[in-house]
Amino acid sequence: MSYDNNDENLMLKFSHNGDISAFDVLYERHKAPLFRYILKQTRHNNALTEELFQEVWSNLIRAREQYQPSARFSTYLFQIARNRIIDHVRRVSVRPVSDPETNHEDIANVTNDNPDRYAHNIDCIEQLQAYVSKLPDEQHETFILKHEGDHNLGHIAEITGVTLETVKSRLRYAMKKLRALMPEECL
Amino acid sequence: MSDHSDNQFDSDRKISALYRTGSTAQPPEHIDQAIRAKARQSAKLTPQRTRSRWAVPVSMAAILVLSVSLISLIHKEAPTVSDINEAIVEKEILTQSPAVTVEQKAQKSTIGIVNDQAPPASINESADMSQNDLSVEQKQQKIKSIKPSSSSRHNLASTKTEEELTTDVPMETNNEMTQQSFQRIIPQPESQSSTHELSDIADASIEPSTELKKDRHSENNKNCALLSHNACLDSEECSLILNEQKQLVCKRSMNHCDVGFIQRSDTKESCETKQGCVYVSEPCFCPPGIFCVCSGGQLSQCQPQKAH
Repeated sequence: MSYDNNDENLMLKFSHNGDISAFDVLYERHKAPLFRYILKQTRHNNALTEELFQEVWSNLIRAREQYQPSARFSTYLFQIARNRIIDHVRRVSVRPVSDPETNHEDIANVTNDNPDRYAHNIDCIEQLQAYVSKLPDEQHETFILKHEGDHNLGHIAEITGVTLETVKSRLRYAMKKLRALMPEECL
Repeated sequence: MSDHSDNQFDSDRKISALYRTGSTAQPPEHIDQAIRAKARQSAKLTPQRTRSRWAVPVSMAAILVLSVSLISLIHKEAPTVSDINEAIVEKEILTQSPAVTVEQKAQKSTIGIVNDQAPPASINESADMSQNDLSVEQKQQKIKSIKPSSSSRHNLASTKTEEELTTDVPMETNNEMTQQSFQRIIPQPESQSSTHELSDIADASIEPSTELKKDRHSENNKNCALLSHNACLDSEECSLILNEQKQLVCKRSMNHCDVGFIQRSDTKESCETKQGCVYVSEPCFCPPGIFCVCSGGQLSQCQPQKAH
């Protein structure tokens, strides 16, 4: 990625010059990780995920002139998403539950040339997603951010507003639980 | 221990890979379109950043142009060396001219009083020309000390009145003042010529109408009447005579004989050199204010010879 086309410059082009092509590039880069992050955070509530996903991008578009390239764009974007999710959870006061149908959709999207392997993977993925969704919220969020947004631990600490050590600890506990829960044939 | 760590690391990598394999969810197409449309709509509303990018250089250029034009204007309006030189010359002229200006004023006032009429500018200019080398004070003194000429002397009383007015003392009631005034109008040979010049110029330029002449005649009579007897005797324009009530009165000289005849000093010869004039005198007349052995009688006068 050239310097001119990094996320921060693209966002500046969009926010200051109204460069819509810059926005298109940004959207293509970040739409899937963000969507999945929200999807996992809402425990696979598809409708809620779509609603929150749109809200996050709307917020970004509306407040684009306030964007300062002091932080990574992805960090900025996921912070918006996280705040939207927290607002929603506070509003409903109900912990989002997972949507079994969505889980199947996600798993069905997995492509695998080997049918046996594909079936085996589906089972493993289903089990893993089920175990991940049962992780404590902090560990769950840290795990999702690590695997969906492709964020390093420092960025996760920035997004969640905690120290790096806390992030490491949360991630370590999450992985330890998943290792313990997952069957050996899946690992 | 290291095997255990390696196993943990492998397990973690497999969990991560497995999780990512299952994470293929994408936002629906309609949401993509909605968000992109919103971004386009918003971008159309605020493409003004391009303008602001040009705003700074454009405004700076405008300021530069304005400054340059302003400076050039100021530079154009600023005085050049030649302007400064001209101003210096003008100033020098002005510093020299106050004497002339004061002199002009003094002359104007004198002539104006003498002739009851302001002279044309040419008179002042010619007067200035004739007396350019005199200082203001000298000129004023000379002008004051000059005995009025035949044409201007008929307003002598006005000249005195001016002085009287400045002191707010009536002339008739202050004999000393009258005496002082009289002393001042004793002929001064040097200054007389210049006064004559002035009065001649004034006379040449003034040609009053008949009505004006009548008015002036009565006015002059009044002016002569204002003179003291001594002043009247020394006046060429006024004559001291005895009226029917045997009282001394100062009247304006009425004919060519007594005009220019100074009763106190002129002799029979000076009177009778004029054609048709005869000298009439009483030897025992004693001028008022002067101690004499005899007094009364007829005054010396230069009168037209009566036809037989």
